[in-house]
Amino acid sequence: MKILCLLNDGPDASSGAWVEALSRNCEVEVIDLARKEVPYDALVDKIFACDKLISW
Amino acid sequence: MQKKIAVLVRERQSEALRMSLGLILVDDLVDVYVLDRKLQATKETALHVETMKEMDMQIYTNCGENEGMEYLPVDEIALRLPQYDHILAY
Amino acid sequence: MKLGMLINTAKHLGDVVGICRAALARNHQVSIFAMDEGTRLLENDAFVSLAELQGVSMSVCDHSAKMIGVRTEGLSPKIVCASQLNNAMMNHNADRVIVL
Repeated sequence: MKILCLLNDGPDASSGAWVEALSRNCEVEVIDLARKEVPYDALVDKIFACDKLISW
Repeated sequence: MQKKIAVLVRERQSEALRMSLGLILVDDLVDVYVLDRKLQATKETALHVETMKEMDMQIYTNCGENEGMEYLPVDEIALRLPQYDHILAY
Repeated sequence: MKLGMLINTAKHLGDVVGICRAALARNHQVSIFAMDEGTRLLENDAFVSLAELQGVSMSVCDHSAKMIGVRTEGLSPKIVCASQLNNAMMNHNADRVIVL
């Protein structure tokens, strides 16, 4: 199970703990949208390639 | 086909709860998770929670201060979330 | 595939536009529902112009717009001023839903 976690405003006080908890049972990829590190076309591909999406 | 949706209530709790109630309008299964903090005691949140219970919606929380909700530790919630079609963090 | 975009803040306009256009370029359909603070984007041309694009449907929580004080008069007829039912329909029909 692949989960894509999008951090809309970068990491916050709780996002790290939740990502860590989700990572115990799933493959989790984290993308920090605030850092603009992934082009939008690649991001869309990742959104549909993952099994679950969480915008944090 | 019915979808399973988890709403993660964090900030702007009243709006998150209002949205959760709206999501059941097409007969999808909607579970609510109040995360990391106590639910503010306002007239709106009280009404939303009361309506959710009338609609047999499940409300979970990882915050022990929240009364009237089923407490689940972080690890248990993390184990459940991947079972939903959509996970909407508000 | 169908991408749902739940817009409940007005903080991520660049991401909303960029992701929407990238999804269309990949031949995905995009459904946008704006509520809460996200209705403030109705005052932004870059946001409302997305409704004119082929493959995009856009609806707005009228209750939110009224509470926030955003005018909905004069919007493009392609933007549906509606209720939470439209959000429910978007979530029901979408393969993925992003919240921004």
